[in-house]
Amino acid sequence: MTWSKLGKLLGPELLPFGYSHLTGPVGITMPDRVRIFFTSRRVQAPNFRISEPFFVDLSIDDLSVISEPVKVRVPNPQLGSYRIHGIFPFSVAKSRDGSLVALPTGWRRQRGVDVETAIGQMHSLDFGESWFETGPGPRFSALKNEPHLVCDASYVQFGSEQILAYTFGVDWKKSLEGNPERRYLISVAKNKYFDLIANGSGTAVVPQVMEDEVQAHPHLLQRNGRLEMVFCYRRRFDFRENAKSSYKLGFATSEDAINWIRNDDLISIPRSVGDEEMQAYPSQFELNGKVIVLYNGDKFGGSGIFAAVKEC
Amino acid sequence: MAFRIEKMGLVASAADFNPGWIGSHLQAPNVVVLEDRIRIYFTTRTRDGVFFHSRPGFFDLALGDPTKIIGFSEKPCLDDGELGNFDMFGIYPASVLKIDSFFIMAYGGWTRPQDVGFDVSIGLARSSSGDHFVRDFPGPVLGKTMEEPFIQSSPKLRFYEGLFRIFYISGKSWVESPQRQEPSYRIRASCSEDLVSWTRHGKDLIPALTPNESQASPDVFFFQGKYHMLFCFRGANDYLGGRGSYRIGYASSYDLVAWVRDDEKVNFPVGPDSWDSEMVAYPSVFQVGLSWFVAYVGNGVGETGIGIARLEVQRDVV
Repeated sequence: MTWSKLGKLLGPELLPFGYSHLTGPVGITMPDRVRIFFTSRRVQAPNFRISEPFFVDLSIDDLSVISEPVKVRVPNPQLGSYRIHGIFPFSVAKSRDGSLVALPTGWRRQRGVDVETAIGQMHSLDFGESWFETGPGPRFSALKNEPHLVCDASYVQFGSEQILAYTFGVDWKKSLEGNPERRYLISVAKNKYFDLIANGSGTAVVPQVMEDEVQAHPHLLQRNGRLEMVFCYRRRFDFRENAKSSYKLGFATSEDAINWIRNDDLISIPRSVGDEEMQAYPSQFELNGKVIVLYNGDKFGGSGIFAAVKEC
Repeated sequence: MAFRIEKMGLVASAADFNPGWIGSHLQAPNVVVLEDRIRIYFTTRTRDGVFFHSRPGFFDLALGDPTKIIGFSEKPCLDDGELGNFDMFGIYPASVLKIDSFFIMAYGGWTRPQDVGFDVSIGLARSSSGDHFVRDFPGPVLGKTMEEPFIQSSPKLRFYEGLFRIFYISGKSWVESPQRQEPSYRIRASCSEDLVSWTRHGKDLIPALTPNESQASPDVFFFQGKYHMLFCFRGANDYLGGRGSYRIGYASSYDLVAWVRDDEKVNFPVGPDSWDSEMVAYPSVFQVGLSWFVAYVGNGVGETGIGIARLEVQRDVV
């Protein structure tokens, strides 16, 4: 299997004034366009950026940009909310009835460690321009054997089952400089009914290829009767500046959502300007029978959104 | 049925104990009656920079004289949680249930988010001796849900009708006053067969007297064919000794689901001693022989210590 690189789809020059980064892209196919949801950061105070969801529309023929970025409308979080300090990623999927569901990861800054996260649930009846939630709290959060950092949700229906892939925090360890750095791994929860899916098992389902590996941003696609997962992984420490330790793309498949076979060679996308240092936060969608993967390049989405097509 | 409170006075204050770990308060008593003693679990707090840091321990009272201290914990009976976990900034409160040969603790674990002063989730820990506890999980069993967005705290662990029950409080909102942010929270319930999977009842159990009333310490006991609950409540502002200060309320239920509030049925007074002249709060009910007692805190939410009162049944006047 080879990937044909399409290069950079969207760059930061598209963003409104004051915003940077296009992070955690997810593509939703519509009859006449592809809508790309992502989050972008604006400075709220010195050293304090807040991440908010947007979408931009692409041509269904050649994936050229056909709209301005649109900031989506989500309910304002109340004081004490799991998402009081922003959303990343927004994690949009099609629900069973064709409407859109978002499983946004909410961020809340902490003392002791940088941040805690949890996954919410929102619905849209207008293809993602406005969103409502059925309650103010998160749908999935720290529970039992997942003590913190439940985040990065991906939902897909697989046969008669509803599948949720996500990551959970394993532990925080201090670097040589004394900064707590987090480690998270990918888990999957499933049920016949989405409302009955529960997290908390603390079971990492994707095999690890290095010591102290950090896995993030799983995204599921049902294809040829099995599940295909793209994700990214890195080392725990020294990943921000050192390309060798930074995010790379991973790939795994499963027949049952429980047992996963990892083969990162199946998502080998050549690097070039803009994604030389890292490839991160991937997702995938089908268009005209082909699989397209979206991902972020250098600077955690600072360089924009990249794409590649699977040739097979 | 109504009850009468007969105060037996202050039993213990922080100054009575001298190991290094005891801080400025004795808070949130939770009582377990053992074969040879009455054990009162409490939390005590020290100052950690700008924040308080609470840890749980216990002291023991004589079975025949629940005002006489006969032992106490030389060190905390549960350590803080790991870096980044829901309980890394301490434990308050801690409720213990003894079932067969096991002590099970439900406790509020504290984090320190940057938007508000704290958040709390409920975890479980176990012990065979009752002296030192080990966590069931590194994460909480009652954390955030869509309907319960923050502050699951003040657990009371009980076993009724074949199920474990955690009566607890759930945050409704953070209220900004000129001086500080204060949370408002109400009493809720959950149950479990195995202490692992918990079903939340999903409704506030006790109607509030004022819109921003906060309720805590919902202790439930069974007596004469009926469930009874003592709890404490306060207003959102001026509650540290002022007009909105903590009082003890009462409700009753036949099925643990539908509760009728009637604070007059207990009418728990402040004073006349100085240690509980401003507030009475955080009740924990226990039975020794045929007698019922309440452990509770007084002024400053435990700054002055923990006292005991006798809870006597008053015949209904027809």
